[in-house]
Amino acid sequence: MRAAALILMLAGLVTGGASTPGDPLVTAAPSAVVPAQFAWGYNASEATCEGSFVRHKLDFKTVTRGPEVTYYDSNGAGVAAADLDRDGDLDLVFANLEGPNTVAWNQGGMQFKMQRLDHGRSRGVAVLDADGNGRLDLVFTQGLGSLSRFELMDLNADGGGRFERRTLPGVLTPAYAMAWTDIDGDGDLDLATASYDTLLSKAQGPGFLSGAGAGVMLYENVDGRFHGTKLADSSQALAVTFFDVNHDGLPDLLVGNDFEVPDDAFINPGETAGVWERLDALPTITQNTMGFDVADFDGDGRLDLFATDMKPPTFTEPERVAAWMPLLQRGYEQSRVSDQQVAENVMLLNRGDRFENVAYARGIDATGWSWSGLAGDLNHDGFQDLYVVNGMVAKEAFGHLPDYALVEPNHAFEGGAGGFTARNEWGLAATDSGRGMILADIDSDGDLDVVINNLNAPAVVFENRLCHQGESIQVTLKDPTNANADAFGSVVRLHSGDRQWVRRHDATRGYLSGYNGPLHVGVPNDAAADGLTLDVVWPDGAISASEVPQGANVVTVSRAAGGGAP
Amino acid sequence: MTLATLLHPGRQARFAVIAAAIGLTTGSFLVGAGLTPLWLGSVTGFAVAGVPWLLKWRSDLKSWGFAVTLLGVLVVLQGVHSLEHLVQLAQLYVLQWPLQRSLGLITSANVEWVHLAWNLVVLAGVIYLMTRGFRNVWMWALLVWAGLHTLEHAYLFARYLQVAREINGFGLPSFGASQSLPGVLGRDGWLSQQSWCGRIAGITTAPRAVIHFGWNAGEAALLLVAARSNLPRFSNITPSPTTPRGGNA
Repeated sequence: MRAAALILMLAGLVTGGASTPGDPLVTAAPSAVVPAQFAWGYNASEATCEGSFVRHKLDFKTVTRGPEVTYYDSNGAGVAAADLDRDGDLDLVFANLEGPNTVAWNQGGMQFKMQRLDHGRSRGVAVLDADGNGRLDLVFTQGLGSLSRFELMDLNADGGGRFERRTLPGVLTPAYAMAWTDIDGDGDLDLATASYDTLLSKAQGPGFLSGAGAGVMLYENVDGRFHGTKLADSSQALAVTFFDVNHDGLPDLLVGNDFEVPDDAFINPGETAGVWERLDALPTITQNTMGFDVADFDGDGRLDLFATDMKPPTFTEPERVAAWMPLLQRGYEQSRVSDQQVAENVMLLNRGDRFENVAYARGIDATGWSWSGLAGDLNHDGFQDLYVVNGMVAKEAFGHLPDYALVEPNHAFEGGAGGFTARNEWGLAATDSGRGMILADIDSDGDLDVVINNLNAPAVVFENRLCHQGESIQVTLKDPTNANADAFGSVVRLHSGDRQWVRRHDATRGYLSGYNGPLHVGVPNDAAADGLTLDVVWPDGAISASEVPQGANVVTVSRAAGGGAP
Repeated sequence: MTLATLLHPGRQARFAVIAAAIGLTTGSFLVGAGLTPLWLGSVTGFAVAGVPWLLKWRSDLKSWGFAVTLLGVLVVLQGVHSLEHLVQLAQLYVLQWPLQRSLGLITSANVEWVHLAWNLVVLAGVIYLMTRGFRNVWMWALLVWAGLHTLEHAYLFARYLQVAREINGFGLPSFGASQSLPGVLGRDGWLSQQSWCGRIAGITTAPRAVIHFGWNAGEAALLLVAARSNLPRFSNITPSPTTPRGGNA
């Protein structure tokens, strides 16, 4: 770990109201002010300025069965980042297919101690405290089965951890993708899962549909037991997320389906006994949805949606176009100009009462066979940047290519006031066939690094050595008053004058990937000088707020007992 | 000589109406009954409907000479070609057909060959007319427009051949989609992918079908304007077999 001196500067119990109320962030409930302790500090670690990222290869590889990669091993697996050993830096958890799931314990200095778990055939991964008992769990989706949960019981003397398998009571259905949040504001973590039926069908034969299990499930956590409601009998989901699609301030469930199956939005009824009804509310959505990320891309304080799909990054190079031709032909035969679904990335900006797809206008619609696409301020200029990993290996799809592999570089885009600019010079254009990916400050130097779980290639960490245009503030949320102790579903808003930076705390992001660490906000230098205020909107809609002390760049916000949403 | 004279079937008017009706019926029957593909049924229909026009142009050739007749032929056929593109838009936006079926009428035979060949004909015709004295600002505008349009199709055609070669190299069969790729302008076109070029409404955002309707509608409009502005110079010429060939006004 990079030498990071954390000096607590100020710890105060804040009881003041939110400073800029009025803009609905995530909740329709009337905002109540709750006390919270803002423990501000200063991370003195200096980020290195070299103008690009530096690649570190890890001793982990997601491997597939047999010599040839076929559907749907080709879809790979995810990665999660969390501080499992509470030592102040983020550890990594890799899901694997044929090999063992692996925990990469962060030793600092981009060194990791690998702990192979006695478990595999996994897809997605998240790190969270599912039952609110104070111990973190590794939760994997299996694709062919239900979720697997491993609780971190204690740490070994040699640096690893002792995990014990636990059930998730009531969670039984096969799941490929999952999302966790406190959907009803009752203080615990609820769960949504969705299956990838084509995977089940391939493994079990077409008869699987006659059995129980496939589809979209919503699990409400009631006193530690998950009560499931089936929202859809079938799904081809590669991604699920909670996202307010009908602008009522409540997190709805969005299911991203592959194979031209329309994405499903289920509307949060806002009451425990209510029915989650389907609503076709989005003007445009991806045709073969691969991953979702929810972020405020345009700095208006509203959460927007980025969804990834498959589209050639160029139409000007014949050899690259030819590689895509079988897929392009499928769209040519089936697509209509009026289709709601488009075979390209979609960025839906939230205009308050509607959504507008600006992906093409902003030049981020075509990033190849895209999987995880995530927003983060990589250079601390106050704008969300975007990174998308891609690649595909499958005999069925690319039998005409060497090694059946569509090899294309990952795409990094620098966000700005006018849109996005491709940044090949950032050194992130890897061609390792990435699948799961997460943005996290692995070296604790205050900026976002990139972790990628590649398919049949070593996982990598790209260390951020960009020359930053500002500072960052990292916000860790804690809610010891509730079972959702990491306060997933919360939204933080940092603001200065009329500028604001909003981040949502999601347990799962992008494609099959998870994050349980501080929320990172890049702040340009002039904004930091003008004075900053931090608001936290807790999952139940209650708000805590604090001025940012001059020079502080890390904070742990701990919700105190009392108050709460009415 | 007026534009109306140039475009009116004259003594063939009644025949033109009847031939158009027969052509439409024949083409519709052939396609509707599944006897021919759309492009062949359309060619058959146009062939029938075109007979009175051939007679008119033969008459015009005798009366006005080759250049004026060529101008008339270009105006009419470019109008028909624009209609082809209009039909394609209707297929896409009104009938909601998939992209593969929305190719207009004759174009479904082969997109890139048909369009490049026709654009070369128009460009050559415009150049010929200018060498025969049809020169004013509208003709120059038409020349530039037709030249750029032909360049776009040359790019499309060259890239189509390149992609086809790559596909063959993979051992794959040909794909219809390789004839629907974006060109220089429009959505996903060459211009839109240049880092120095931002998004320009329409120019780098419109779908290929809209872009090419625009190219052709513009070309048809310029042909009309160019014809209208040049033809009065022939007004003092009496139609006769001895009219100077090319109308060297």
